[in-house]
Amino acid sequence: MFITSAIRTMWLTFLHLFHKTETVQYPEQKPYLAPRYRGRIVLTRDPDGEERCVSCYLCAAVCPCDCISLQRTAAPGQWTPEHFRINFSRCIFCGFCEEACPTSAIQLIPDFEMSEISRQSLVYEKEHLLIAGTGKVPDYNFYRIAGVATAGKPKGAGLNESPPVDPRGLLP
Amino acid sequence: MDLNHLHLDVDRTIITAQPGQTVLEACLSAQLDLPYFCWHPALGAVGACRQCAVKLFNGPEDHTGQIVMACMTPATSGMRLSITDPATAQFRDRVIEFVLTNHPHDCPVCDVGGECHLQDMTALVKHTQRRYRFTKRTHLNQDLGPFIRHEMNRCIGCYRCVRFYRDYAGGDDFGVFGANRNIYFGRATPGTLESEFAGNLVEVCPTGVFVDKPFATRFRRKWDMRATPSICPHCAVGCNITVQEREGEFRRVVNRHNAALNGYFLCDRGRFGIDFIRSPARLRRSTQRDAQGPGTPVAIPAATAALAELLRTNNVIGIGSPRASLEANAALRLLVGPAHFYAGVSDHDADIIATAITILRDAAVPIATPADAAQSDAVLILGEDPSDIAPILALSLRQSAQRPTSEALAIRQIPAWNDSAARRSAFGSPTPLIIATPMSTRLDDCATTCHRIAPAALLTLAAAIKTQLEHPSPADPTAIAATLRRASAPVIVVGGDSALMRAAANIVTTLRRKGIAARLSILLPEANSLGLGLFGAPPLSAALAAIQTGTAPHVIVLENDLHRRCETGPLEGTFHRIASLSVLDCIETPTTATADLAIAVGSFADADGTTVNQEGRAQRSFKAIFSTDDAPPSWHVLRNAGIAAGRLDATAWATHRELIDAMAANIPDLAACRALWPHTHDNIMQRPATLPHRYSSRTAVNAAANVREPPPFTNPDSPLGPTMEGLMPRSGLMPHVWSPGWNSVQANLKFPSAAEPGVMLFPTSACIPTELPLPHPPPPAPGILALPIRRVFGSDELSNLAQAVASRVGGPILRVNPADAATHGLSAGTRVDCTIGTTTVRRAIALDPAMAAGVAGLTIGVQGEPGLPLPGSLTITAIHPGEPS
Repeated sequence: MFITSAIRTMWLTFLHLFHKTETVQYPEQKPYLAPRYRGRIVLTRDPDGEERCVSCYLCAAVCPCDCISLQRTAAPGQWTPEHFRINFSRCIFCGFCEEACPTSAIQLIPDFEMSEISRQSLVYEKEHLLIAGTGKVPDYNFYRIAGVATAGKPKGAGLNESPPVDPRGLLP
Repeated sequence: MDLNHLHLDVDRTIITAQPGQTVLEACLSAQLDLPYFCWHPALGAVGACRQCAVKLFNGPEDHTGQIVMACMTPATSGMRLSITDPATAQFRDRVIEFVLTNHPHDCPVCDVGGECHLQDMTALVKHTQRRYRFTKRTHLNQDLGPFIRHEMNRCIGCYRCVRFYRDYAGGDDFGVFGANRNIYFGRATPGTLESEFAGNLVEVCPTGVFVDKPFATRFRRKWDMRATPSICPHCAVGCNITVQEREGEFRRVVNRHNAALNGYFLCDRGRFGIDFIRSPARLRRSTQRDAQGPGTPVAIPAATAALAELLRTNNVIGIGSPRASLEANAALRLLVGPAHFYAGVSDHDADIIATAITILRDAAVPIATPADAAQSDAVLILGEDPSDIAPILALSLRQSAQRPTSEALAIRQIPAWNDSAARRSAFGSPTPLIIATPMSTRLDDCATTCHRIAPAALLTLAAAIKTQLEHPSPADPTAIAATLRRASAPVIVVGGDSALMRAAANIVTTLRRKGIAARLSILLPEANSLGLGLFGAPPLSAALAAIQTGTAPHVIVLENDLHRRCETGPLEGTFHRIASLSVLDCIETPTTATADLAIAVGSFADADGTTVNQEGRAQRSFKAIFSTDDAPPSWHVLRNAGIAAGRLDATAWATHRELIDAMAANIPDLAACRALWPHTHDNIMQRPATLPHRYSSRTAVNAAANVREPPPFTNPDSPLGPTMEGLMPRSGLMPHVWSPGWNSVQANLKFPSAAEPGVMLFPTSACIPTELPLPHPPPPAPGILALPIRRVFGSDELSNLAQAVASRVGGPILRVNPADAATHGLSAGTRVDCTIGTTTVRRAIALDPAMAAGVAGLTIGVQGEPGLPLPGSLTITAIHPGEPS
């Protein structure tokens, strides 16, 4: 009984010599990651090259592990973050921040290679997060749709906006 | 079944309501969700927005019903209503869809996002899809000054701003222009909103048209900020506020509803003045003068040791402060001994405070809260303008003058909530508001009679009113006594002079003897003036006299700038005689600059403290700002120094509670302070949580410094929980006003009785108050009699340090009668040097045609100026006509 079982096991093991191999030679050989893979988080720019993040705090609010911290700048007008920090040692890559972001600024990209020796090195600041491009959303610019006036867009010049009303006008 | 309550059937559930409530109020109080826009508890109902539609059935057999507006329908017993009825739900959905056709796509960049009434209401009616295909209306914004930013695109046209600013607060530089698609809410020309209540537009607006401008420079969402109940430190009304903080930095102040005091509103000094916490003029580090020169930085333990060294000499005097808490003053008094403790106030202020205590405690004169003032049916203002000294009291007095009394409304069968009809019915029969002051006030526009009389004549007038009340005679030139006698609950507001305060108290006593429920309101100069007065300490001049006569003592000054309290001459003439000067303060002042030891202590927001307001109401505020390098509260420093010097047991005042007990044992008047939230739960989960439940970024906020998360802050002195865990109390201490689905400040309507009233140290008794003897009037002083003008912006020491408030401070003025000005050859805008006592100050002339002759008003509290001996004789020593004003 024992002998037949041992021989069968050895035979099956021998057959594996002729099976197709599943080992991937990582890191020389990279695995395929879908474009929607939820990996490292980046901050993108709008098609005009400006920072997309308007520091609305929605990503920080939705984050289930509270690992996003930011502060809006003191300057009036267009909102941008003064600092933007993600503690990747806490991040669970759930993608809620990307879902919550109203300006498509925060995006998860197919990159998971973030191993570090110390946890402290996993704290990413804005300069580590901000990329030069638009990421997965090429055309969206939040300020073209928003009702606030910005540097190049006075009141009434946004998408679907009438010119500003004249309260002194006599027309109905 | 309680017969005093009404019972309404709403969707087959029985809810109770108070008589006089509308269906909307009844539904909200019963925790039912019914959307609305134009209604506001303080502004009443006008039925303009059509959002609160409900279905009303005419009895049990009616299955069709009719759609009515809940805010315009009085609640009656046995009413059958439906909120969930599909027709009304669709009606409300259409209304909000219409409102949103022009609302911009702004929420992520709107300061109000996350605490927006419009967002809440939209979510409540479940409106999701925009069907309107055409363009959105836009508006140009206006610059409305340093407090408010205008973003007119967001307007939904509910008219609450205009109803508050014009109808409620009496402002006239803001209004509504145009109609329909041309509508515009703003000023005729861009410029600063002049009303000192303009900041309330931030909370009154259901969306983000008016946003808090200073807050925008350090913006955080509401859900991210620690909220702590606190008391405004800028005047003696003691309005209830909520201080919001994030990451150890002060963010903003919002109103905390207290029905007796501030109700739903705050003045701009309270709302924006507390920004002094972030001022560069804050004393950030302790310094000691030593061999290396003045101002060598020392750490708090070393500074405490130096203070202990002084205490060991047994030759120490302490000078308290009306802007420090009871705890800090009590600690200093207990440490230096009652014989060596002085109140750091001028003789005039000390006299006023002592008189106020006599009136409240000894004569037992009933005191009017601002709520009483708003409900009164006749008001007499004597001496000072409450608009500058106690703005919220002035706002309440304005309500009494602008609205008919409840009796008048009952006769006309107009319910009090029906705002438009109630206001219209007041035309032609105004509630009496009689002002008798030496100079014009900002309540003159709603007054029925104004008398401009000099202080000496005011005393005569007050005595004459009392005589008229006792023995009515037809020859009553002012008819004030007759007016007061006709009223059922008159309020007399008095300030500025102790003899006048006594005379006013006697008028109230006389009215009470006649069975009229009169009340008195006393205007006091600073937040804790009355609290300091209850220690019974002699004023600053007595301290200076003691220094002159005794052996050179060590002086400890508590949170006080002595240079603002008296003239430079006597102060500097005394200070060379002292052994050392130690100052504990939270701001840099001329006194800290000259101190041998300046110890940086926490502000009111960094410490637990109790203050006593002008009604004798003790209220507690809590440590609101937490950071790792917090300045310690004054009483902690004093305790540690006392222990080190051997003056206290090593375990003395280990907790806030023990200090309050020690204080109560020494000062019987303050014993009632022990009742201010005595119980601190040991279990943190049973304490009210100060952090909102969606307090974000907790694992990243300190990660730049250290990825390991620090433990939460603790505060053993406070009954509040320092974290997100804990209770959300329904009444009493409520750090956050929030209800499911109600994220805006309007959530406080869900908790109508949530206010913490504080403790009245001198409760009103039913007995008739005692009449007070009047002092002999002083002989008339030669020259012009100068009276102090306290201004909302500019006369308060702390709020002047807030950047936004500082930009509202006008130039120092000397207000005179045009006839007097002509006699001295002065015209408006001329700069003059005026000498009062031994001090000469420069002022620009402002003409006040109504001003009493021979009297001049002088703005006080100007930054960098010494305290002036006012009221006093003024001489104009030089005129500079050429200089621009």
